[in-house]
Amino acid sequence: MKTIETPMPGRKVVSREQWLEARKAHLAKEKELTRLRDELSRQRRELPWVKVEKNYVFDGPNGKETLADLFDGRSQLIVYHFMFGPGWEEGCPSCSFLCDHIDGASSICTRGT
Amino acid sequence: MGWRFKWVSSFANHFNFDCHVSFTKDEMAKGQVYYNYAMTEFGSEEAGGVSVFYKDETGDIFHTYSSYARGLDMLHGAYNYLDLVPKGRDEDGLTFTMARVRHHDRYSNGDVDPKAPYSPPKGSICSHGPVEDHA
Repeated sequence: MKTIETPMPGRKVVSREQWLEARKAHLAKEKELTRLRDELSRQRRELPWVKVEKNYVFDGPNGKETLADLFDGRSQLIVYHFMFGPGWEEGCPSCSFLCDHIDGASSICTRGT
Repeated sequence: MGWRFKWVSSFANHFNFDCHVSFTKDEMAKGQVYYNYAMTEFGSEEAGGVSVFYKDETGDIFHTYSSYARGLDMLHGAYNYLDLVPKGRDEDGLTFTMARVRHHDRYSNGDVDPKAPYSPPKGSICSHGPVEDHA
């Protein structure tokens, strides 16, 4: 099959066999990244900790809640710091975009988080 | 916004300042703030970030991790999808990388004007694009 150009510069249309060869070469790089990311995450989990000495009290739907309360019986807590400053009439659109993804991860609550 | 995750306000405490995602007027006046583990110019009193804590059986709490700016990339599922398609995140030539991002009830027919200048949240003093540009 003759190689032809696509509407995108630098992208070519090739035979299925040529595509598979290129895809497999890229797969090797993807696997390398996967393993590197696993290793990076392992090293992240081994970072040292700092004890929280302050008693932070937040205002939430249930009234005053401490940082300890936010764990809600679990041992791990992830906080996203949403940009919504005093006097702002609306929150940050980019933070909102990130938060659009949080509820989809709600199953992490079954893992102590 | 229809979200179900829990929201709390840190207005009454120093939490966001201690986590280096809120900045005092004094810090802002000096022109540089401590964000993403370095002093940097920053045009907003607020910045984005994620922080992780662990609570042990005695109730002691430990801060284990914080990340900011491009360090938040993997929390955006939409970017992982866009990284699969030929056009990618398609951010070249934008005024800032998140110029296509809106509150999710403000996309009309999937189209936004990515060339539009950054529109800060109403009532805020953001003077530039959002924090992801400070990778």
